[in-house]
Amino acid sequence: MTADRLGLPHLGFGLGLRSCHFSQVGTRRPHVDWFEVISENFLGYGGFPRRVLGEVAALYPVVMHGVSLSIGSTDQLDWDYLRQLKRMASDIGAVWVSDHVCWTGVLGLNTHDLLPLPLTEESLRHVVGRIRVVQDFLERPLVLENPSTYVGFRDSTMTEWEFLSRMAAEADCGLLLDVNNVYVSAVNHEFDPYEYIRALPAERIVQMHLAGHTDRGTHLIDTHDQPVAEPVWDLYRVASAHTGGVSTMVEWDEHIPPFEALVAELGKARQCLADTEPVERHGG
Amino acid sequence: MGDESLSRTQGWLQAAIQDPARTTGVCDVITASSTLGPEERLAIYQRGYRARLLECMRRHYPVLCHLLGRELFDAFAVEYLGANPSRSRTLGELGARFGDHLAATRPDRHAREEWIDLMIDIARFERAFIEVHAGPGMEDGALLQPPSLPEPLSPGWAHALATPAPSLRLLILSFPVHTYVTTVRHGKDAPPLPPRSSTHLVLSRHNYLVTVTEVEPPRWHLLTALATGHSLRQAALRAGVTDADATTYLREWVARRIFTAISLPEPVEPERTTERERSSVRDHHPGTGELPTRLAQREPAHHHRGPAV
Repeated sequence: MTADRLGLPHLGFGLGLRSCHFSQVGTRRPHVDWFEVISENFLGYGGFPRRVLGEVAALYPVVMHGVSLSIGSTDQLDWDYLRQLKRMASDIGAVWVSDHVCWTGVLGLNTHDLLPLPLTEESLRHVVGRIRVVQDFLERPLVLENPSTYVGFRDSTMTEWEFLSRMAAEADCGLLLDVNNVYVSAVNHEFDPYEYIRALPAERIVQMHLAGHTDRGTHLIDTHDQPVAEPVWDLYRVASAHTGGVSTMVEWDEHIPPFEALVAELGKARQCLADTEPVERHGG
Repeated sequence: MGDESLSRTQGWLQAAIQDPARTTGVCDVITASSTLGPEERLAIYQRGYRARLLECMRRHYPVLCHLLGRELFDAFAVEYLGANPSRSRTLGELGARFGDHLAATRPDRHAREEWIDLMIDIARFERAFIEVHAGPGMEDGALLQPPSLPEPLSPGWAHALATPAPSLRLLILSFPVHTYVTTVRHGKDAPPLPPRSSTHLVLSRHNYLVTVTEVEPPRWHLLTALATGHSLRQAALRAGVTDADATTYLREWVARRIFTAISLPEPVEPERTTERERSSVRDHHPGTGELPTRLAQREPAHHHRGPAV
């Protein structure tokens, strides 16, 4: 592991810790560099899953990935949630805490979906301000992921990659580049995914996600229920060249295969990075 | 708060996702792609919202879903979700009030039907099981040693208070649904539905294993009284059990980690108790030996998660 972006290390190649693999991870200590956990699957829980998390965190680096921070919501920040998040990060020694550039609800409600923001100056100002507050409270940088999106807004005035780049710079936060999400959104919104990735500030990309999606004919859905698609591997190679290689994990949340199949998918990511020549960058 | 435009857009989109039938003005907010119109793009989120929450409800109530069939279960769940949209950051709380909702909105209010009672019982049992399984527990806590328990007739025995484990749940049901639920959860052929029979259940957890025990009513009432903060003497009186039996049961429950602490009230210094105070205590608790309210309030707050019924 080498210290790199925002002082956060390159952890190597990781997997999501899912309940169906608890016994396998606990007893066989598989060859996985690190694990990512969905924060909300453990917040407020105290049973067997939380014990397994403690055991895994003692053996592997663990990263917390949230789905309910709702950093883009116009509701007040949920301080109780943030306190729980901070306590859990401290308890398990999370290497970093991530979530999504999205909102999940307003008026006190939670849709439990990663809803898109209009890409406007107002949204950018709003999100940047909240990231700064959350980072100050957590006393660590936030790492934020580009979500898959299915609608565009008439009000939007900038591209998603411009929004993310400015957000990361102005809030001084990290980026979690979900390569599959880039591809899904590129098909749904008809933009060039290569242009998207090359425009992002490489030095702020802390982590990458890979996952499978479902082709519905008229659009793609980010389903995490099958192997990574070939166009996404192609994009990953470009992203790896762009960043020089960062911590990468494979997400698989539905129809989860045997653990060995996940490790094999991760092996493809290792090979991609090994085959990739870093892009020489000049200047800052 | 964010700016008004963003706030307005978010309020509109959330309402459109949660209540598609009332959605207007989609084309004013959302753009089209070359393959999908604005309404079709919005529908992806509308379908996703419904599918995600229904899937979560089915996972939380697998046996009720099995019993009713997916179509009928979903109909009840959609009504519940409409009346109880999630306000939690986690999905664990999504179905927390499903049993209460079914009881409050039962479709047979004019002519009671037995299967509705059975449905409510299964919902309440499945919820309680999840809370015990996934909630806080005492696995890392030290086992209370038997010598810590006061002996019957020893000073303070009557006023002893027991702290329940946070995972304890107590249910009174109209049907013994626990055996049916356990069989279906284990993937075996569903047994015949149980006949109506008042059932007193104790759900507890030890070493991450949930134990469901059916107990006789006096034991259940003793346990409930202790778990809700009554002294040993008060609890024994409420349950109609002898002091000796109450002590025996409490020792058993401590060994099973159903209770995690026993606290004794500070001794009252007789010389500081005025005659007026003593007569007041007697007046309010004639012959019962109950703990005066004044003393009870001195005790630290207990982990009263409360029984699930």
